[in-house]
Amino acid sequence: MTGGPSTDLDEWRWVALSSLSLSDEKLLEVLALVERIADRDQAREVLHGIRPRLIQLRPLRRLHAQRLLFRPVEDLFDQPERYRSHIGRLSRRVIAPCWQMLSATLESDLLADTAARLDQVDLYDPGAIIAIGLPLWHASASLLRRFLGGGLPPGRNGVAPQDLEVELLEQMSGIAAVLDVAEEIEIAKGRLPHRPVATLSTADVDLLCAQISQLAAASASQLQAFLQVILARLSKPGELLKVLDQLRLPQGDGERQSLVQAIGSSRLAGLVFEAQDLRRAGIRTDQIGDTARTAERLAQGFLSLETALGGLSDRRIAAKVRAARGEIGAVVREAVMDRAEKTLFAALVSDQLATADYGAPAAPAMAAAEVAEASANALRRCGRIAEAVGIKPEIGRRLQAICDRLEHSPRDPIIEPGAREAALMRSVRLIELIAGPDDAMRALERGRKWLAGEGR
Amino acid sequence: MVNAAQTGMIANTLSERGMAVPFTTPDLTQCRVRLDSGDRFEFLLPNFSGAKGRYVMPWRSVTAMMTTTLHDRALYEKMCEQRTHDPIKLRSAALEVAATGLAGPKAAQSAADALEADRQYQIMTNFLLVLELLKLVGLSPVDLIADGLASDAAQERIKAALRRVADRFRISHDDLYMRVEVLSGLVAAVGLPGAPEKGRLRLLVGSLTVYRDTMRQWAMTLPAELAELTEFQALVSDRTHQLAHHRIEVLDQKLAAVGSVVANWEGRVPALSREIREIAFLLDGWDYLIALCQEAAEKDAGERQNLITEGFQMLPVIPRDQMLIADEKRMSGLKAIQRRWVRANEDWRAGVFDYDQVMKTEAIKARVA
Repeated sequence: MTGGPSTDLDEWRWVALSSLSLSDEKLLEVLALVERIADRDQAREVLHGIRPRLIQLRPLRRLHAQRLLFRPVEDLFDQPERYRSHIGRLSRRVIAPCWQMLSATLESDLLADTAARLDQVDLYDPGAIIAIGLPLWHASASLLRRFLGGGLPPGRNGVAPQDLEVELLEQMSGIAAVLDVAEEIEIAKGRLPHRPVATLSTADVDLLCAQISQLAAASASQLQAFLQVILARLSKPGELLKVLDQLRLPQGDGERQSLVQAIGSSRLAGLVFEAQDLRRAGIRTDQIGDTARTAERLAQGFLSLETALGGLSDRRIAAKVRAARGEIGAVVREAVMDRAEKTLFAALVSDQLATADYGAPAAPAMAAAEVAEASANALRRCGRIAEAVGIKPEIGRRLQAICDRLEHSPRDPIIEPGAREAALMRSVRLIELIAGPDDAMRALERGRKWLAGEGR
Repeated sequence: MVNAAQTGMIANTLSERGMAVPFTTPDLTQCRVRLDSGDRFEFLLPNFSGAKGRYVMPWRSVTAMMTTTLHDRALYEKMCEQRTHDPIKLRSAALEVAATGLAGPKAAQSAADALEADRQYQIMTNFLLVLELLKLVGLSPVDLIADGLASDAAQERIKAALRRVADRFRISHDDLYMRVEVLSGLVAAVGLPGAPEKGRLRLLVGSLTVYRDTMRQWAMTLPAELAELTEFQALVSDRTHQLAHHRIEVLDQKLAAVGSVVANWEGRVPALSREIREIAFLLDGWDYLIALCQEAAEKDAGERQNLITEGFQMLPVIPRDQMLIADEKRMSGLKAIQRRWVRANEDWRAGVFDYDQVMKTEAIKARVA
């Protein structure tokens, strides 16, 4: 370790680093404290450091007025460096000027009342959150429109439209459109599981159909804003487009089909950019699992949108999607497979060395066993993605080789005869995660036969 | 070939309701198993087509219908090998299988810890029973520790006192030891009333009221349909608590006279064994539901709804002969709600079960043990 922190920010980095070794419960306690830090830079520093753990734990975050305001829009935000215009997405860069204008312009009573009610709210009660958010969302949407139309007196808000780039102004307009349907979005979010939503229940579909019909009756732009947010939460956005395609809407068949095509293509473009970003971003070894999950979500997304849109008739889009699938394939092949294989065997050896007896892994071996499981899970995802991105034979061969190696690992002379049964169970468990129970069962039977004979 | 018969949703008796098996295959998680007329296991599965009733089928039909995890294949083998015909034996079998690591490292660690805790608890129960017997011949705990419990003098005094107890009951010394050993094995799942730590099933009865209150609280913020499912879960846990609490009170009265149980062995033990078995059957399946509830408490609203729907599917509805709290019509209505809210857990590509879901079940298994 170094000699310790030298500046305030260094101190917070130090806190973040130290927090990573804490238990889940303690880490959440640290998070609750950090969320009360007034200095946003310092809080951000800690949150940045512990984000990988937070992604896994998905704790409910303390709500304050700014977070509540942007909550309905959250699914559309991208980091500034990854933001692309004209595909229905927003850059996080717009948050600061937007909030600066709104916090200076909104009624101070409204902000104070919101803050006071948020302090008391049950974060598990979506209805209560909506009740607090509704006046804020409506007032903000209205103020944003007045601001963009030049209808707010200058000087009061600290920001004027002419001070901002056209790009940001367009995004503010996008935010206003989403805030108009914030209630419907939050109702749907409260009912659906966390993103990415893998499957919808009958009750989910019924709710979404009712909401779509109601919004379509109000205005096409409201429906579009709602769909953009909900589609961004789904692993298989095509499922919702198919539902939409079968609904009778006041807009008529032609307009409905155009909407399906427009919104589907815009989501498709978003996925294409995500696939490009996935390859460009450097992948750390501890991110293999997340990368594999993202790659799988993208592969699923392409497949479902392609089906919902009736194939990709536009050659240019089809070529882009093909290229994006190639990017996913490259990530799977070069980043995930290679690293997951190495990590898996390194963890397996470490686990075997640390476990001297039969039975459950001892405490030091537990971490290694969990790493081995996470790597096996990433490899399983690679196998699932392979066909959708056109690399099935290659990945199939590699996974088979990994399973063969795993099957033979209990026969390693380093393993004491008394520990071989436990080693066999560990290896078949990993084979099961990668290749399924039937392959694992066969490996178990062969392993037991060996143990009963020469492995005794 | 699937060989299946249909059955209603409310069992007539506890043994007809069967035991919840902690399988990890998503469609089999906590599915119930009971013995057929030939003493073979038959499994009760939900009707996958969504129609009324449940399927009753042997294991070979289950495996013909779906792929099962390696853990479940090993557990079934163990169940057959050990003839696990009651929930207490089934629990031990399940822990032994989980300890091999087939349900993941965390479940393995928890299972190994639970097996050790059970062993220690049985030793403690044995010790408490011996203390009770020693009191009959005038040896109090204070006398025992006077020279230190492990001293030669104390050990000699205990042996002599136990010989006096055996003589009093007109049984051999070995018989006395055997009876205490068997009784402690039998009672350990519930625990003795005055034990410094409560037994597993006694603790579980206490958790039922927490479960009931949690469900009632959640019902206030859930959509109406789901609130109905949640209220019903609260009702079932409440009534199960009442029944189990009463049965344990009755059992405690019988256990208060340990000497009488040991002395009238043939007359008293079969009934005691039946009563403990009935308590275990009554509470069977609740440990998993309580762990599911703890898991849901840490999730957001959408995930919580998922887990509530899942929990309803596994709810140990009280059989008719214990207390009638719902008829087939009401159950059918609630089941229809559950079906509307349940989300499929399939692998998006192949339509087979998803290991992500298996691992969620394994995480709950780790909590249960």
